[in-house]
Amino acid sequence: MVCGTFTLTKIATSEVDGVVAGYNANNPRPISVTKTKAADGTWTVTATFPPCPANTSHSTGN
Amino acid sequence: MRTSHPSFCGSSRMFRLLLVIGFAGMVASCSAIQGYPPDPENTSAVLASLQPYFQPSQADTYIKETDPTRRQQLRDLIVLNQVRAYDIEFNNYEKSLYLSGNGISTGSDLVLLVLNGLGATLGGAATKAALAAASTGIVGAQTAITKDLYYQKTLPALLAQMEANRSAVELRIFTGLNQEDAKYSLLQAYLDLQALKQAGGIPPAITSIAQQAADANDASQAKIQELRSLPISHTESSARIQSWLFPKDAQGKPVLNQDHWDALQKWMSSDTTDTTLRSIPVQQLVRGGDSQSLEADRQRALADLKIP
Repeated sequence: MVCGTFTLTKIATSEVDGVVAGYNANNPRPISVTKTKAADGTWTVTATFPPCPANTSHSTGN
Repeated sequence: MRTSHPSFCGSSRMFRLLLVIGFAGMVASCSAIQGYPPDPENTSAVLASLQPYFQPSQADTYIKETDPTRRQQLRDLIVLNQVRAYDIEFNNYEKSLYLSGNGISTGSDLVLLVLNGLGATLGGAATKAALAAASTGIVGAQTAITKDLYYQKTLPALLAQMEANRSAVELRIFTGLNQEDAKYSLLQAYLDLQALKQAGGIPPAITSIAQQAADANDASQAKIQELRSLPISHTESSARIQSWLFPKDAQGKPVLNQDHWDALQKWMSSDTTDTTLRSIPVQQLVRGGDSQSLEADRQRALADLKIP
């Protein structure tokens, strides 16, 4: 089961909407997908899925 | 108005009794298969002959010995004979576990449960009580089968782990015996012999298996953690999968092919080569860069799903 947050970085402007669409197509869908422009002009896309169970090591529930 | 036919009912009960006992007996007889060849060695006699090597006087003799060569010979003699005794006892224990997990207990449990159930059923109690007792007998039999099937399924893994645990300790002992007495004394060997005795038990085997599972889970979680944040990939494999998932329409705009997406996600969920794929989004596999394992996964996906 996919849980926690996943991020892709160094994304060119021409590709960023495709990456967002890719995360949103996941089943189950993420709770949210955000894109942030970095200082170097590239984009970072973060998909947030439901928090990982407490017994999962290295869980990134935020 | 109902009439009773005592003699017929009695025959019917007797027939049912014989039928069920016969069935239970057949099940019990299935347990006669032997999993090991007959042992030509009289292990009881051998074990008795090895008892002197467990006497404290043997260690006293060793300690008092001043000649290094003779001292090492004594060490080897005591240790090897104790190892042999532990091996014989372990083999006996292993055989008993194997036999108990392959039908005998199921058969005998069933006979016991069926007879108990019948005794309660045919004991002249009220119909309701008899049915309840019969039901208890059936449920009990099912519990016995479930317990024994579970035991049978887990026993090979336990036996394999017990043997692995023993082999690890025996390797330590034999490596020690290859050294001179000053480097591996009898007293050190005694510690390893104690470990050998314990290593053949079920609790250490369960602990080892549980630890291996925990280690595998930790490794899997660590790998997932590494995949959580990656730079975007620009490899050929990424581009091919991306084009397959999002082919362009007549206007040149990428459009999701849901069938392809579902096929890839199903492949990720069922992949046994890299089970971490079940715990990451499709996008991380397709577009995640700087990861040799993801590149290898993409290559397998291209081949398995025949992606052009």
